[in-house]
Amino acid sequence: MSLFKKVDELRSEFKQALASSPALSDLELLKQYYLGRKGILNDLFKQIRDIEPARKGEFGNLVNKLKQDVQESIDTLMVGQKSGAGDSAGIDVSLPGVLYQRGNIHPLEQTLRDIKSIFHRLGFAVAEGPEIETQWRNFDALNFPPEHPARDMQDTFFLQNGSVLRTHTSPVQIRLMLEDQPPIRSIMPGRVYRNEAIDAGHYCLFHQVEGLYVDEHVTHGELKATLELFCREYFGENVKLRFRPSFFPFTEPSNEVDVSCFLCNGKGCRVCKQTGWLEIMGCGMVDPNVFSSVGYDSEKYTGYAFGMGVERIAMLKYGINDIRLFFENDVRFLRQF
Amino acid sequence: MNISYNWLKEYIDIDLTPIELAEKLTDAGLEAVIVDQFPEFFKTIRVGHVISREKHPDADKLSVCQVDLGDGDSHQIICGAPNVAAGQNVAVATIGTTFPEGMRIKKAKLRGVVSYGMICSESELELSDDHSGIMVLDEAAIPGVDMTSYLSGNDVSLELDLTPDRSDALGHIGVARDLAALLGKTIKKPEAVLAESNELTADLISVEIEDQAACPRYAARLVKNITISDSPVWLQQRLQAVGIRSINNVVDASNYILMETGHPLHTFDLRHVEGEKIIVRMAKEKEQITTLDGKKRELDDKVLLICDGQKPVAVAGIMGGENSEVKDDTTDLLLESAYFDPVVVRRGARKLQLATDASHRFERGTDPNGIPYALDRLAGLIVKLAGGEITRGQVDAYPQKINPVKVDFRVERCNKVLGTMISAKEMYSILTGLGMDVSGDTTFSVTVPTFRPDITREIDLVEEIGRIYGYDNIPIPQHFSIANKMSPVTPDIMRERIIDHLAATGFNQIYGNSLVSVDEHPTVFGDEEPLILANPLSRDMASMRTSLMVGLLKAVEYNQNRRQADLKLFEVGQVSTTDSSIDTGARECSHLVLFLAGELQVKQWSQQSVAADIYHMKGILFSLFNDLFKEQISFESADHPLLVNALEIFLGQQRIGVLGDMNEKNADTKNISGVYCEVNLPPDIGLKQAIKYEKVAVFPTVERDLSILIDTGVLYSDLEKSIRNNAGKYLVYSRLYDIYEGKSIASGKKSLTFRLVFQNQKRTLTEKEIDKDFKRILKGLEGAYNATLREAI
Repeated sequence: MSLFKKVDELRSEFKQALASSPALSDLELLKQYYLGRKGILNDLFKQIRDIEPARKGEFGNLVNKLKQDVQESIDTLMVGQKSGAGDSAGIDVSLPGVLYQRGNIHPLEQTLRDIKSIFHRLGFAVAEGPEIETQWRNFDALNFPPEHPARDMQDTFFLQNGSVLRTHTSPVQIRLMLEDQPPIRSIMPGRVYRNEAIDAGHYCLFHQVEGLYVDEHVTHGELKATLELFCREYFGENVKLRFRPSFFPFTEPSNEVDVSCFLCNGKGCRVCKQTGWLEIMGCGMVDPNVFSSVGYDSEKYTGYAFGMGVERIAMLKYGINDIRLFFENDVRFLRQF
Repeated sequence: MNISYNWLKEYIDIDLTPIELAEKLTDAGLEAVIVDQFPEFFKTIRVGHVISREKHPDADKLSVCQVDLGDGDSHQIICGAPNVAAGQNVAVATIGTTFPEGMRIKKAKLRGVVSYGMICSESELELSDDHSGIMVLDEAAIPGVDMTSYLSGNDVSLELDLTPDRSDALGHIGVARDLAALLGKTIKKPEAVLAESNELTADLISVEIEDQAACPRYAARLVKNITISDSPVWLQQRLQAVGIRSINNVVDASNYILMETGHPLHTFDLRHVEGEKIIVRMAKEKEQITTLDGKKRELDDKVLLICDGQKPVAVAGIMGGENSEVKDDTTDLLLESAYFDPVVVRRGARKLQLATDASHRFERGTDPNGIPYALDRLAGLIVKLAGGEITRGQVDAYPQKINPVKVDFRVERCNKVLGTMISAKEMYSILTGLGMDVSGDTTFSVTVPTFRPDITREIDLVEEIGRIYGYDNIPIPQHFSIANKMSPVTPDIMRERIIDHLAATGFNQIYGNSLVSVDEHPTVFGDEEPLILANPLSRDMASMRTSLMVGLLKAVEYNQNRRQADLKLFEVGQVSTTDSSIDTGARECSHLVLFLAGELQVKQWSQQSVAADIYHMKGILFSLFNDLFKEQISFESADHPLLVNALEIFLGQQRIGVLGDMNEKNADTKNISGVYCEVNLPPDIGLKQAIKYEKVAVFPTVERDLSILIDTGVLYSDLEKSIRNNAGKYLVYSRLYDIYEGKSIASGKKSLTFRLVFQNQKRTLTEKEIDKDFKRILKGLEGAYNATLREAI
């Protein structure tokens, strides 16, 4: 190997040594290795005698330049290390940071917000209504005939004054349509009540998000498209939807919407009861009888409505298997969200 | 309702597996799941054929049996039952079977002889209480078959979760009809051909309907000289598969036809039908009847009765009377097939608090024109099972025929609602496939059979098209329009900002129950009158909350009982109070509750711990209203029934909330200690805020500290007001910097130090100007509050 090449090699070797950010003691060693009296560069210098005379000067300059660079690099680093050590004397930067305890937003509120934000992006407004409702708005106006078995679908709390605790957020649809003319495009979140025995799967109240779009030319295909966008956004790009025929008095046709189980990718698991599907919401085209109770022309307008339970979605999302946890308010539970 | 896979196949040819069938039905809106008729452990219990039985060499009561389990080997099983014999078919619990109580069958030695299983009694299989001997199976049973297959006859049960509109699918024929439309097949409806005697039914019985609106149709037949006995195995298996217990051949026949046609039927013992007639009438107030379940029931004039010439014999459409029940010695029968008004049956069932298979169907609407068919089917089956003769003809009281509904249906409208391009031809075949008569080309005139009472309008037919066409086949549009309308900002956005702010401040959001005990309405704001439930789940959930205190206290108690002492909790929720000026009778508003207890800041290596007190609560409220919403709130001290050191919170002149300490000696607040605050959130809070920029002053501020000695009774708020009033225009703000009471100060006195910050917007202030203001402030304090300067820095 030529000695010229050897110089180049030593330079890159030195660069590598520095790249590993050597400590102060290492720098001392490096200095000795390269620049010491018996150091490798002095050694190299001695070999100048083997160079052909015409290039001796060139070689000498090359080695000197390397020597100079090494000296400078090591000195700079040593100064830096020494001053750093001086500044941090007495301070243990590894001590823990001062704790600023943040609070928590309830998991149901977080779930509701996630749902709301997707529908906001799809152009839906938010409307709210009271939890105590007249029977007319909760049932009659929504095409639940009196003395019809459909009223048994929702176990109802009645008040002594004849009103009811709303069994769904659908009476807000009625309020909206009575106050305004189409187009109406809103979601309606809120607390609803069911007179059911309390257990891991049921509580006397829960929260719903309902959606309503009324305009000319609203179709079932558009309903499907909207819910598909929502489900993909919320549950993941790959979920599939299934629209099953169902029955709700206030929509016709009515559907139950299933999404492919995102926990097992539709293969079947405990949560989806081996079916590969999770029932996630109900929907349908607004029944003409609902339009007539609010004075809309059902020939001119069509509309769709959908509704989902916030608890159900939160339970699926967070893997919670007991609805009562949401209302126990154990801070060790709440702090997980 | 449960249906049987094998039974269904009697009415339609299908080559679907039970799983495929369940999927198909679910897709059509008849949600179906496969159910287990028998317990899991039956799968390892197999039919065994006893080849030989010998006495056990060392035990008198034991037998050593060689049993064929269908696998070609002979299995040695020890049995202790007296009735075991060679040639029998028996139920063998094979090795590995685990019984529900935990007993596990293993290879075992009994008195020196090895046994490879156990021969079971009916009680061991939990089929009956009979443990007198082993269960002997049918001679035709095939060794090796598991018990579930043996008992079900290789059938599979499906549970249908039907929506209340689909009364037509409450029988096997109805389900088959829907399947036929889906699969493009036709159903095989069994014929009802009867051999009748020469005796005319009409000569023997008459039917009189008093209330034709409640009972539009009532048909009866008589069957004489029958013999009550057990039902044959095929019938028992059919009923078993749909979850109905076998009683006797007549009752079973009536249940069989119910499950076949979906039409409820009733059988009376003719000898207890007096006066040779049936009268259908409304009950009288307080009239009584003892129903089949042995309960005496008091009726009112809304309940429909079936009576004979003397007395009520059944509650129409709900349950028969005990007095006319079919018994073991019954020989002559009156069969009833009728149509009752759904509302009448529903009201009656609710009055009696009785839901039966019959009332379930009548409430949802049965087919008035299917009555003769169901009646003939029943009469035919009874004679087949129990012998006897059917008298000639039905007595059919049907004063006003209920005709099928005719509905106009526009093909274009259907496509418009669904967003589809389905052809008229395809729609035609879907509707006719469902049993409808259809005429017309672009607008159909559709005659809807009376077994579909749910279809009365065009939109109902649109649903049928969607259902059979398949919603999953409806194309998804690439574009859709949205409403060209901006929506108003709603209070939920402000609530979100409050929640965000408090969570960032370290609070945990809780969700309390809105339902509280009638006795639990703490007077947080005043005497709100709660809304009371008429049908509460329990006493402690019988009214609507008037404040958020109850839920909060429950949450605090829950956490403190679990050693969580440091709490920062809040809830934003609706409360209500009685207000008769609103149509719901209730006024609702949104409240915010806040609670602090224990240490706000835990001790850390660089920081002291900080205990919660009302001053923190004041500061939190200030940051929420003044800083976040730019609303000016103020506090005034007040007496409060539940809180000590209480303050009322004002937004302008309006009292919006209270705060104060909760006392551990106060049982009304569950002996909880902490700082409580509840605010009635004005609906427009923060909505009107308009921030106007003010130029940032470029001239420096000057700080002066003012330390005064003052009587301990003087209030800070008075001193602060005095400073503000006397300061002149350069004081930007004063901040209370320190309070001291103690040794170095005279008793009855306290020292307060204020940091005063001065600034002129237009130039730098001179020392002289500040001295002048400072002295004026001091003078004001000296004059009004007897303050003395302690030290000026």
